[in-house]
Amino acid sequence: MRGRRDAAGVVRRRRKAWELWITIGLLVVLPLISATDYSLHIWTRMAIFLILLTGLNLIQGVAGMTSLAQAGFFGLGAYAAGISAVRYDLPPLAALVVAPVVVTLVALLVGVLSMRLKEIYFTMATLGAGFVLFLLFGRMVELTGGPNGLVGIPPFSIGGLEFTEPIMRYALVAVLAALGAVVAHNLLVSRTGRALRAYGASEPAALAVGASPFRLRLLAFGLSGFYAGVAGALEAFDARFISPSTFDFMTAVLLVVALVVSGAGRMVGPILGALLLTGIEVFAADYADYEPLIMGVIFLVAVQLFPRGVAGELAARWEDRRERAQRSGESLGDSSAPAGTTRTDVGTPAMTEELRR
Amino acid sequence: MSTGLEISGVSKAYGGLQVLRDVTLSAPAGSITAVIGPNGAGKSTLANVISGFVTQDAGTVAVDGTTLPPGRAMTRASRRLGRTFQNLEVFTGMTVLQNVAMGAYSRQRGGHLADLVRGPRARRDERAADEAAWALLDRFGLGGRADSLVESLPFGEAKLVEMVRVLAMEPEVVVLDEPAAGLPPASALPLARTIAGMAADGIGVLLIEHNMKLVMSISEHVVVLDQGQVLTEGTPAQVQQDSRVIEAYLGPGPTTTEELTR
Amino acid sequence: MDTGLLIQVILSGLSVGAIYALVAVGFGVIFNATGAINFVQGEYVMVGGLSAAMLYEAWDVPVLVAIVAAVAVTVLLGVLTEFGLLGFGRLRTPASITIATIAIAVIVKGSAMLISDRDTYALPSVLGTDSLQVLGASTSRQTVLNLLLAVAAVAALTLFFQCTKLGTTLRAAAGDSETLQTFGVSYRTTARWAFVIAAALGALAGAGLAPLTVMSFDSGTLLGLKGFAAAMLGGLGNPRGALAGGLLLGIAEAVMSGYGAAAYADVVAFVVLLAILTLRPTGMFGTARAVRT
Repeated sequence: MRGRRDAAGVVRRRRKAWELWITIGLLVVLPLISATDYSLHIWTRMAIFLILLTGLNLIQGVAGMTSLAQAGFFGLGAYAAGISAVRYDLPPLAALVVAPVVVTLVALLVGVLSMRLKEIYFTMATLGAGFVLFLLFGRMVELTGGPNGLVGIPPFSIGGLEFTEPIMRYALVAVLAALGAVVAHNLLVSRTGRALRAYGASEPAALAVGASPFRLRLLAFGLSGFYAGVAGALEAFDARFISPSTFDFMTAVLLVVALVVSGAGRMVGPILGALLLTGIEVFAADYADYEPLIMGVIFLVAVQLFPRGVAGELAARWEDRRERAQRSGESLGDSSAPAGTTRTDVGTPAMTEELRR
Repeated sequence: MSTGLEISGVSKAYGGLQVLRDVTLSAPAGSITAVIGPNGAGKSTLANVISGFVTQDAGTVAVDGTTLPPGRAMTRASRRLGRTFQNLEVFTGMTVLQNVAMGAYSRQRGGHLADLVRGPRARRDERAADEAAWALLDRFGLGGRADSLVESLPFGEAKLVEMVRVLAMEPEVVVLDEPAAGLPPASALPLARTIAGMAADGIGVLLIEHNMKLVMSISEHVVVLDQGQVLTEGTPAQVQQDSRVIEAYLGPGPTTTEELTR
Repeated sequence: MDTGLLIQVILSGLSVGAIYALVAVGFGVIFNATGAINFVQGEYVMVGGLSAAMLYEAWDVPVLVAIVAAVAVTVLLGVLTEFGLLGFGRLRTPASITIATIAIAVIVKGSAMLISDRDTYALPSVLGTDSLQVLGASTSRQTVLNLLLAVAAVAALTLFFQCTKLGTTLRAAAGDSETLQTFGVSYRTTARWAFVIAAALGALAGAGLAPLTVMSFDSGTLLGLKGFAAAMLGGLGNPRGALAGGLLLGIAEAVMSGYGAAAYADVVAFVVLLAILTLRPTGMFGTARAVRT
């Protein structure tokens, strides 16, 4: 893709939005493939995972910092929504707003405390935060129902309209997932997204062009919390029952793994990862005993074979090929360099003379 | 017009080692001022103090008469001070165009949250940055490389991208930390042209360099640093005649700078 | 205040704390050699404790023999871990190695679940069941043994790091493979030894833990993470710090449990982890190491 030149002779590079379109397309197509109650339930799970991973991708993929707090944030969102609805009789719509706000605030707090740490220590801090949340879900029995879980969560509703039909429940989650994907795409292609990536590539150079690492990363982490909060609230209203085990360390690991394996940092990473997680969940229903072992093996093989993730690896190969094709094209005289390219001789003749001596 | 870069009384010690001692120099707008000196003279530390990566113990750094906050690298872009690095520092994983646009972003305002919506203003800014980057790339003969990943470029071109990125910041002062380091001799001429072009645009260039030939051929003013202090300064011709410079570089002995510049 | 209860609490804290210390030392050994955090560390404890208890209960193997066999099994697992991580030559950064250790931890745990069929197993103390009277409080003899084990392990490792050639290279490694090349030792060899040591430490911790509780396939994960908190508390990579961090954490948990907040005892380790990372990421005794960007 060489881009096109506009009237002013400036080459325009088309923005790569195809990954976003795949995501949205899939959300639309899935219920058309199968719309039984069971498959709609599966698609809904998939869309919730998609929201979770889209959020995780901002900190893990774009900022390049592994967060093991996403499962805890997911749980916090679910409990915040569930408790608001069950214990405080908040309308579900209000609970859906409260949950992400609560999680974002907690994420910002954790972020402020841990954001200046080196990558690996940041990961361990997020692990600690996630674990504290997970343990609290089980221990604050009065509020959360403890290990037995929180029961009696109402279905989602707006006004008098209850989202009990599977297709309605899917539509709610899918619309929010699509919205989340659009926002994440915006961030990724915007100046902010580029600055985040830049910081991961060269810290000194990013500082030298004035990008604020602390603010950028805090934003990414806060957003990942916001997404987890939305996903958690949707989980609470969809399952209508939540228990701590859904949000344990294994879930935190699975989320990171699914994203890394699929391709962290790319827009298709979250959707591929969500499909993978859903597949695992369906598969695990039948082979619960073998699930961890098989998961672990797949994970290890994937990490060893595709350090950049499956999508990352494929895309990198494709871009390499494009690069080579472009190079060979140029050597055949197909140089599309503009006329201005020769304007490098801005030095003085005397200086040039001196250098040639 | 900007008065350029003014450094006054800068000192820095690491533990007991005095790396910089009361260094005062200036790099006026529209000219090239070089800082030379043997290894360990404190050249890199000076570059890091100026660009805020290292906090000085004493002294001030000012651009266009405004004193810069010590040790805060992030603030330099808004004070229109750009720098390159001795070891290539580019944004890998990004295209050449995106690398250069990063420099242009530093001239723009606009919040990160606005980028989530990417409204008309954010898009306009993005386009403006891309266009500025295109113009610079065309000017320096990198137009054909705009869409390539920066890590796929030969070293010399990647170095140039780093410099163009700094220019996209529309700086008043540029600090170049050993730009010729690691470059093949063939790249010296285009490099010299680029640097001279910066000065011709009215930028105050501080060239910190080991390569005497490059320094002597393009600088208007040369400052010699030795053991953290300014040993002497003057025009390239004056400095070349100075026996102390020869001594600092080669130790005592009957040598001329002819050997150094050869 | 009831001093009897206090002493009781401290003793049980030391007993578990010694286990944390052994795990923490294991984290440090791997960290020094590879720069990575080894999530399998907790699983070594599980494998050591579970296999010893299974050998004893299911096959009537004598306790000491069972422990020796368990250490051997775990060390083999350590060697396999190193191969699984570095044997393909593709993982280079500490972050990617860390991620891969999570995968291996999941595999180990999943396999243990299948082999043990989710049953729990118990192992008696080598010293028998008699309790020990200390200042009016009673404790099991295992407590003393665990403490001795932890102190001996730390002392042995400290000597090993300072006085042997391999120890020096292991210490010098700390993620700096260039230094290693000048020693004429390959990165792989160093890493393999680090994993052998870490796995042996884990197995000993498991053998020491099994008499205090029962072992099952999921005994390792939480324990491992608490051991990591202890390692951070004392300064990652510093054996003496690990000992202090482990014992302190054990006592802190025991105090929480003993004085009415048992439900929140597990939270202590993670609050400590967050606090130490935020306030003093080099740990209480850590040497200055760049942990902040």
